[in-house]
Amino acid sequence: MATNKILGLIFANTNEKHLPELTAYRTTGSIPFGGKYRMIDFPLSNMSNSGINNVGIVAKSNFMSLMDHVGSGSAWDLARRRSGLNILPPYGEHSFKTLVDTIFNLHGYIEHGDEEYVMISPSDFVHNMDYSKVFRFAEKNRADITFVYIKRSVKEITDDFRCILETDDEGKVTKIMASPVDDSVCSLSTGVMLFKKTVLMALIRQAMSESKYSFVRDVLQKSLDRHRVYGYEFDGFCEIIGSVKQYYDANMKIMDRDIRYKLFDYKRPIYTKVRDDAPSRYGLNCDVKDSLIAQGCVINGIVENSIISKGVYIGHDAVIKNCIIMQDSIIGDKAELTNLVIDKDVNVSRGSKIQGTVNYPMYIAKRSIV
Amino acid sequence: MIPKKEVVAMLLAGGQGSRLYVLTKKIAKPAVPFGGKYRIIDFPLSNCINSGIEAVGVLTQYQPLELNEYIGNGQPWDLDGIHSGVTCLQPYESKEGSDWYSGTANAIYQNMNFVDRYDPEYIVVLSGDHIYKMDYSKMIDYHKEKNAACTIAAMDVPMEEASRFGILNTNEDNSIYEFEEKPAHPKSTNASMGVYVFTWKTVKEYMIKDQQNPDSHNDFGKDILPLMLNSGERMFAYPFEGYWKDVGTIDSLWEANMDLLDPKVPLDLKNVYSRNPMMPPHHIGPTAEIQNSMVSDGCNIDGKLEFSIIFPGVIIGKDAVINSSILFPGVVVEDGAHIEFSIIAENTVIGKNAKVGAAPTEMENRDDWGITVVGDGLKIGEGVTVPCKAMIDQDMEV
Repeated sequence: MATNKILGLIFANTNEKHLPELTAYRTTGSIPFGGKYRMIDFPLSNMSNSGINNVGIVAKSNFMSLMDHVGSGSAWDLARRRSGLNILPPYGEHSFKTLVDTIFNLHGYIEHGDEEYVMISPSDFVHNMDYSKVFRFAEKNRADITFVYIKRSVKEITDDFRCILETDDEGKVTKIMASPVDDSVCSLSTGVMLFKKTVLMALIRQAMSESKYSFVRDVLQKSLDRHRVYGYEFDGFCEIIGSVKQYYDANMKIMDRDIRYKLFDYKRPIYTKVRDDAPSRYGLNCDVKDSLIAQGCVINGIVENSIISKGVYIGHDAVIKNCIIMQDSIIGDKAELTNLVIDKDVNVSRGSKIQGTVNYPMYIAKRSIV
Repeated sequence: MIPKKEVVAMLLAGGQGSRLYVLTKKIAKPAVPFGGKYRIIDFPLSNCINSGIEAVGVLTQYQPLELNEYIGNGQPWDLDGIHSGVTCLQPYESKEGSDWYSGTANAIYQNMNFVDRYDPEYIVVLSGDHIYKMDYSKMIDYHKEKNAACTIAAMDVPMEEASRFGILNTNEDNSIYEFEEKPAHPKSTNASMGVYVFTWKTVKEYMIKDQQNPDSHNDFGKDILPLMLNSGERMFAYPFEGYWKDVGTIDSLWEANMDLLDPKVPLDLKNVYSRNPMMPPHHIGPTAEIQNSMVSDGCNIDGKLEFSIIFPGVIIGKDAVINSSILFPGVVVEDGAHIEFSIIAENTVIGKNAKVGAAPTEMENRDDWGITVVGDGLKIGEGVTVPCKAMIDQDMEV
């Protein structure tokens, strides 16, 4: 396939400062999502499904759980004899500070292969997209840089990956803005960018030589007058996650069947590392409504409008409402939980009553005993 | 050069499984779905790797495509080593001609070269139609301890059921002095589980000898074991305690599935490995009611579910009622349909308000009752009634 010409580069630690609770022990890419997935499953599966077989995951710090999750890459069909999956931690004297110096320090890896293009992706968003369409669009327009953007209204942009685009009728980018002017709907870059490899490396070297480290200002905006820069609109389901509230809302959105079928399109599945969990077991007096339940659970209580991840146990007469419970947590008998995000391996003891609010779902940290 | 393995497992998976009727029309019995996401063969394969047996030959013959594809490179069971792992062994053509496997012993006889490559001390012979969890390494230790030529796993069954099994009559030290195949009046309740450990060198001689006998069925149970016993070989019964069920019939397959819902039954699914579907978690809708059931990934449940086992990707519409039934992957149950005491095979669609199967309590004469089975890929039309005990292998319309 023609997408063999693309090297994929996924940044696992994207915007972890926005999600300090969820990234305390892990990368943004390894945040659990949707009951059985991790955030990085989305860019990884998209790349694999689009025929991009050479993928590097840039892992700056906290990447134990990430390495455990991706393993050899076989779950994404990326355990290949040629190319395949590589995890790229900092090495030698290099630490990864900004996108600019990170890409510069990885030039050996990036320039080693004979791919003509490099696709960059953050890992703080969920979507299911056929990137080969972006590739064909770029080839057709002989684009040096192609942004994948969505129509969205945003208050502010506080990260290195995203910017606001203005495009002409053919999709040619005429202006790149680092922050929104007002809160009207604009063309927001998702952070997925397809570069001609030579163009990317030349821009990065230029910025480094001038000691300039802002990706948007010193690389992207600089590129406009010299290169062919295009925008490709993605109009499917796409959620960028920049806070616990956004995390909660994005999870809850996949309760909608149409959204779920689009995000987990069976023709382009989202892959993940699977455990050999048994099917979930519903007890005699349980009452479950409007919920998403992964495998390996035992449900004996009442569950409403919640996402119950793999291996969770819910005790008798427990009442769970509007909660996201991550894997292997244990909820004791008669516990009452409302509007919570409960991280992995949490143990809620019998009869506990915990309540968050709709506007501010309360977060309970990994391995807590409540 | 392949490194030596002390033990090689040979899994007999070639049987047609004719007593499963429409469920084995297109697939071999070991590939029949079980327990909400598994297939029957996951149990012996998982037992092998959990017992440290890394060389497994699977003897396939009847409708092997789906089974071979499912086993693939053996990766889900960790059976994909460089010099070991799982190998599907089909009948093949050689200089001497080509033959189908004529019996269980013949199947292994024809693949002696596969076993010999590993130069094993022992072979474990397994069936592909039993649901149980067992550590074969303990049985092999027992075999060594007894210095046996053959060890047969045995379990105590109720006297009234004993005549359905092969019965092992043993001395006090568990040495076997007599076999009774499905005896009308069994002398004991020590039933063979169809799990054998043989000393390879010894059983190889008997298989070669048996092959030269034109009257033999080339079957372990009928020919090899009696031949070994009559020749004075040391043969022992290995007592097994725990859950074990032959799922070779519709009734036993249904019962074994229902056993998973019974907390009193000692069968847990921990460390049973399988290929996993790439589907999101299942969704329970606002109108659903679920009691005492098992549900797998990718399902959408909007109806009522009781005492049922639901495989991946099943869709159950509003006001549909599923009771004491097993729905294989991809089944669609449209709104208002009723399914009771049935097994519905893969991707079949049950139309609106159709009624499939019946509860035993609905029957005037209990003997008329039985499990209903609907084959795979069928369409049961809107409002159709499928009676209990029926075996459906074609579409039905009113």
